[in-house]
Amino acid sequence: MTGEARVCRKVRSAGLGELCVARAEGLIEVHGLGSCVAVCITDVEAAVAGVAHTVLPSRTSSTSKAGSGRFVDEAVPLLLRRVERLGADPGRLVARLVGGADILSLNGAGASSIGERNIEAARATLDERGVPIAAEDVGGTRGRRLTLDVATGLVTVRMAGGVSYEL
Amino acid sequence: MKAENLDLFADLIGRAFTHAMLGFAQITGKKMEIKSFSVRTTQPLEVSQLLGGPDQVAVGVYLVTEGSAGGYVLLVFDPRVARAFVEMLTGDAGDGGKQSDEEIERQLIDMANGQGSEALGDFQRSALEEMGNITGSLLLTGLADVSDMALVPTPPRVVVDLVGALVDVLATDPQLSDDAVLVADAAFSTSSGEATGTLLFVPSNELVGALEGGGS
Repeated sequence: MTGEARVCRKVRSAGLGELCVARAEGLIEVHGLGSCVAVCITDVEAAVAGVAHTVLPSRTSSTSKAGSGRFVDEAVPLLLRRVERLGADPGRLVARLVGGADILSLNGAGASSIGERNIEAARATLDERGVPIAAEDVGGTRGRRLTLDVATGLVTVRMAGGVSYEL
Repeated sequence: MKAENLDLFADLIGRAFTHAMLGFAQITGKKMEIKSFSVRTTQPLEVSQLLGGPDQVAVGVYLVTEGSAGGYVLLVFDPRVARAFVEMLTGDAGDGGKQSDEEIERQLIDMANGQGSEALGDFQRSALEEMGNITGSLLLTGLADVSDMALVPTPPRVVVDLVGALVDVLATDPQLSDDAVLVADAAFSTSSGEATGTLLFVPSNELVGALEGGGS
């Protein structure tokens, strides 16, 4: 399923490197986000939404076998095409970003963490496509889980040991 | 992964666990034994499910090798097991048996973050780190001998978080093998209780190549 979009009906999960799109109703969940970044795209008026559970900023030679849903720069354009195919208007699309944590807190060691690079790649790819980012809950050192309500576009985030909040 | 390499990993991990038990006995004055032990390989995308699902909170002890060679060693304990494990080591019975899963989840995260009245104490953190340190170092030393590669581990890090977040660390390193995660499940016992843990080892592509090439 990696890199393939699915039309969701009720509650669906976007696993590592997967895209999930839906129309009209239902929930899309992403469990256990660490350094990965979930890119959520919604068109509330059309009630179309989708999530890409991205793992790495871009493809490298050592990850060439992996599906395109793993890589931010490939997954975001693919996700945009999928939601537009379901009836979303490109001019109404907005994005929300969740994840990109530095779980091992290695960022202080100098080089950017994978999480930080994923966040930057998501921002850059969305900017190139002209999709505004409505909200972000990114960075830090803790994992997150999220739920996207397809009909309303509401994104709910919860950190381990914390309370849920709307993004 | 070739069958002979799985046998090699199983042998090294078994020896590493045995040495870790001896180390604990010296630290705590308690005899610890491995009651059961098994090793298998799995795909990276399946690891979260093996550990109870990506939303399960767990305790992870990481060892990372310096440079591009080697890989990641991650010991994972379910929060209740982790709590029981440190209680076994410290002799502190605590009140873990009366708490809900959410309370334990919150308390463990506070402990790991150095917050709350029961912040993970130096001794408890050291016990978990030592588990990772002894086991991981011995495994890496054995692999270094066989592969003729320098495999130097970083100091261990204890992290309490969602399983999915713990495993993300393994999934996002492009130097690591795409198709081989070693999973070792072990049950430990002392006179005061029993605990189980899972060791994950994700070798680098470079290490797998060296082993499959017969070393060097």
